[in-house]
Amino acid sequence: MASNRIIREQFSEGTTVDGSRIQGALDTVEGRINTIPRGDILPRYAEQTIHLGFMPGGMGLFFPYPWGPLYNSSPWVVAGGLDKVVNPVRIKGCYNDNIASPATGDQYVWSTGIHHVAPCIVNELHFNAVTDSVFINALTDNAIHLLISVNADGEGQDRHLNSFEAVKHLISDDAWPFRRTSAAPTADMAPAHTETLAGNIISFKNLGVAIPAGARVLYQIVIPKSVGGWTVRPYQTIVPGMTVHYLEEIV
Amino acid sequence: MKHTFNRLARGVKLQVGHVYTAVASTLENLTAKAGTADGVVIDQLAAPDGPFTIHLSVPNFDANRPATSIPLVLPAYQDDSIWTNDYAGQDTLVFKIEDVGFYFDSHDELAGIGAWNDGDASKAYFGSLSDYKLEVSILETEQLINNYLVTTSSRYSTVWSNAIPAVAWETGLNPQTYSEISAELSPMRTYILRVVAPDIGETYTLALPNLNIWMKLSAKLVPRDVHDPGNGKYVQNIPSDHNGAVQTTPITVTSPVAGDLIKADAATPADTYDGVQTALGKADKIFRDKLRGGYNIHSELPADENLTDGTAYKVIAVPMWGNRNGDITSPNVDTQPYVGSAPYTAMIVDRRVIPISNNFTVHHVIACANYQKPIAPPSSTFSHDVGVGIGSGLRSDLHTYQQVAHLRWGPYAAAAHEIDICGVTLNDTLLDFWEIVSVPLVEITGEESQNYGQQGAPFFIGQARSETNSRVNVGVDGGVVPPGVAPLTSGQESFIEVRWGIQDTIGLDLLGPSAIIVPHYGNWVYIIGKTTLVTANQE
Repeated sequence: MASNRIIREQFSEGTTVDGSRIQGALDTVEGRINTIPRGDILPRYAEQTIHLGFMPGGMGLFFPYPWGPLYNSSPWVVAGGLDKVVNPVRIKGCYNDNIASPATGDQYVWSTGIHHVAPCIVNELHFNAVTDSVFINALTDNAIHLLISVNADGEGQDRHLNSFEAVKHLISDDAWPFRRTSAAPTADMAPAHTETLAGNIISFKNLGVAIPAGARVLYQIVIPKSVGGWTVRPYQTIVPGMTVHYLEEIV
Repeated sequence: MKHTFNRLARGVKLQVGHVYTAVASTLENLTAKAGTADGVVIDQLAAPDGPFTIHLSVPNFDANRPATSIPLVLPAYQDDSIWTNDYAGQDTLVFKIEDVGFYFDSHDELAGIGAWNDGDASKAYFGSLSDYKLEVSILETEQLINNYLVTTSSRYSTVWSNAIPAVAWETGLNPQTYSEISAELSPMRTYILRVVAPDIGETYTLALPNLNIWMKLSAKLVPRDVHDPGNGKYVQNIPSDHNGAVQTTPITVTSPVAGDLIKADAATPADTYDGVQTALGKADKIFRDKLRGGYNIHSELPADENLTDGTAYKVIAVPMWGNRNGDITSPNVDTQPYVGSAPYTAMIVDRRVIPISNNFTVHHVIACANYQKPIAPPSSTFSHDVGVGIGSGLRSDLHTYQQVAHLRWGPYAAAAHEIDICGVTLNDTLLDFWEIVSVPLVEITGEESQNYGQQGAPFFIGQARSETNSRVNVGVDGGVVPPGVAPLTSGQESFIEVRWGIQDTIGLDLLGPSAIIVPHYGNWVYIIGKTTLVTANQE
């Protein structure tokens, strides 16, 4: 005997069959096919793409924006405000053994927040660190952190309570070069760029992170200061880009 | 199509038409007719709209220019009748905006952040969030391309406006969203998102680092693009293995004929027709297996598809030249990368790299340049050069590019590709002045579309495995004779690259201090097209 999904009747030898049962089954089919619910459709997600990116800012001034400090410590808080700091370390777990504390160094965060009103599935996060002859970084220091976290619901600003959904600490740089050896493309696109695309493109794929409705999600990238190729102004050594692909249900 | 089955009236003898005709019609709709107007269309769907969210990123918004505007157009698909009729047809999309959201990086504290030229640059200012009120509005206007010639702010009507009170930030609502806006937006209109922070320079010189704004919209689902040149439908770079055609395997019901006894369950092996349960069970099984359709992440199609309308609108907003700490003019253009030596006749180029995930078909590329005043640099020597390409080589051997769209134009001289020219009053002293142009897709002669000027047919972008890396020919910038050329990326594209070049053939340092080479908050490129619905599984 077949197992029905939408038809609430079963017709078989030896059972009573009348017009009402047949009509009921047909009504069910008619109703279902005229108003097919979202759950009956297998491919029911539309992919959304977030892309952020910028050339390092500052016309000769070398400002860090939009990179901000990892530590809300005295160099980064206006005098008299330290006692109001809720998150002295903004992101837990971003430890570099060569940057033990704000006293010995610093790290910078590029933080992007999205309030997802509807539930979604975050599938991919990419971070580009493009380098060339102007923005110079060998990218061999294994010191980048990538994180996706959800702010705690109803617990104010304490980021230690964040739920971490995807995290990769101290990424192995040699696993993520755009290409093993930088070489000019066999064909370029217009307009021509004087520099060949190089650097690292770090990709998290197939994440399948389910984000509930109403979640405030942070996509954050952490880079070090004064570590190897990351100079005292590390934000000037790469052209950063971040891409997030997430899925939302049809409405 | 909607179904209306015959009613089985009381006392009527059960006949073939009561059951089998209804089931046959259902199965035909679900299987054999998939991909046609008689297949499963949005009239039958409880959720007939596809969401799309436009994410806008201003890397550093601060009190040195406490207001900005971001223009936006949402053109109809290339094959929409609006392009030939100049009025919306019954299939022309109407967009509904539901949410607008905001975020800036306050260093995870209830604090403002000092701007770059404040005495406490990039530091957290506790107590200063009271200066972070934002006045936000979405403005609508007709377009120059439809002969609307007014360029001043009198041209706008307001679709939505709101003041985000400082107290919202002070209570920790960061990010925050304004929902249930339910305003309709139209194709063939220009929209302006205007953001003003009137108090941000009142007490200190403050900043909103990494200001992110997103607008969530929806539009009805439509059929996907199919490469069928015999019927006037060309899709560049689509896998030639299937050309995007909907894959169908008809499932049929075998009806009794005159004299047969209609049976309840499966007919006996000796019978040549289905019982009532067997017939109804065939429709039930399709729902039990769930309706299918659309591509997987490798641009492959399922063996059997059920959906006709399974494609949603998609917009990728790409910020270009967006992280300057002021206007770039002749006196400071020497600070820009790639500028070369005086008089700076080399092209300065900004680029974004966007790794691709699921495939989509590009229908339009839109570029928005801001001169911040009606007078722009001279078009005889000054030019913008915007290109969109797909690239291969991401952790692979073949590193090459395939052009998707390209336009080089001088200010206000984009000819048929000029969509709109519009000034936006930001406050008492600040003005944005936008030029919005269509960057045409590469063309094959005879396969063009007439949209905002002439451009090439829709361009498919998608990852592939061996079955789907053989692709339909593509055009070239400015056109090429049929049959076009094979795409250079050979179906191995893994990222999109967007470039925006700026050049003056006399020299960027000779334009004078009043000519805006790059505006404080940069320019924008939008990649607009169709994306098929997908499953959560990326395989």
